[in-house]
Amino acid sequence: MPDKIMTLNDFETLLDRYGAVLDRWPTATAAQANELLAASSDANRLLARSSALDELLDESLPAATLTTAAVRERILADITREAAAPGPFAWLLRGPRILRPIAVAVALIPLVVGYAIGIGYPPNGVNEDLVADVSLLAFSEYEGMSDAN
Amino acid sequence: MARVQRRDREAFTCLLDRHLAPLQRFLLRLTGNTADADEVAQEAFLRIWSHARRWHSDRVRFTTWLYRIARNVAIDRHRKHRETTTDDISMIIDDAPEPAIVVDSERRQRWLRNAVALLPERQRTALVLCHFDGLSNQDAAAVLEVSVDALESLLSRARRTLKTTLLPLLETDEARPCPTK
Repeated sequence: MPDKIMTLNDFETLLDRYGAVLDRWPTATAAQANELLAASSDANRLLARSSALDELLDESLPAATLTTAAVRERILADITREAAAPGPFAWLLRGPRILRPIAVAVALIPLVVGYAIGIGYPPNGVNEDLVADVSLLAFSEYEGMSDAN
Repeated sequence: MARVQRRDREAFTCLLDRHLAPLQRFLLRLTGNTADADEVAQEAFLRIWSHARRWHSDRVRFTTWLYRIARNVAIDRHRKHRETTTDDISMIIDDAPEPAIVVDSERRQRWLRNAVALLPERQRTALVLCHFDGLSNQDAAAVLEVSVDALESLLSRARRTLKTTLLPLLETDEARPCPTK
């Protein structure tokens, strides 16, 4: 707020924004606030109320003992367990480094075989010979019945 | 942190030793109880370990990233918790404090804690980061991923709400004689 006299309203807004510790305020703004405090008892009253609020906040802190050591051990145990647990493809990476490409190649065999089988099948479409055979079988009985009638 | 990104356990342990206690304190103020603070801190550090490669030193400071992760874990946890339980905290704070609360320090502290706990999450986090953890408004804004103006607006609203909620206590304290030194 340079070049402007700080009003009580400005001061109250700034107290809400920065708290009652003027050292934490931007330097120029704190200087203006100090000028206002020197001249206004209302400003001092606002500062006192804001300080009281800060004190109440400090009082609200839960009184608890930190369990840092226990939490630290749990975290370290978890990451050790995670490192020890093998992933689904960890077996590929076991053994000497030189054998790893072979392990990967072995893992790919089912994929290659499946692809080869797929390629080996005839393309989609109607097999005329098969249709003729099925028709013959299906209608042979019907034809026999009509002969009887 | 670069060593942690290379899965160096020793470096991770150093990181843990440096940041765990302050993070627990932050979470204790945010969640209000040790059990939640511990579990959130644990989950946050496990995420740091698992996703260390996602951190870029040129984008955000490590502490900012850590607090951001911890806050997100706390929010997730609170949401899940809220789905399974009903919060009756508002019942505790709705009425003005009885005269007994003013003098009974334990009840008074519980009442104060509830007043802070009832603030909307972002206002509460802003207040915890700036008032309790002493972060600058700029650093707190980075944790909350908002502009400094937005952070200061959150702080203003939090303090104004608390001034209204805590008015009976503020007035009682103001009326008390100053202790002689």
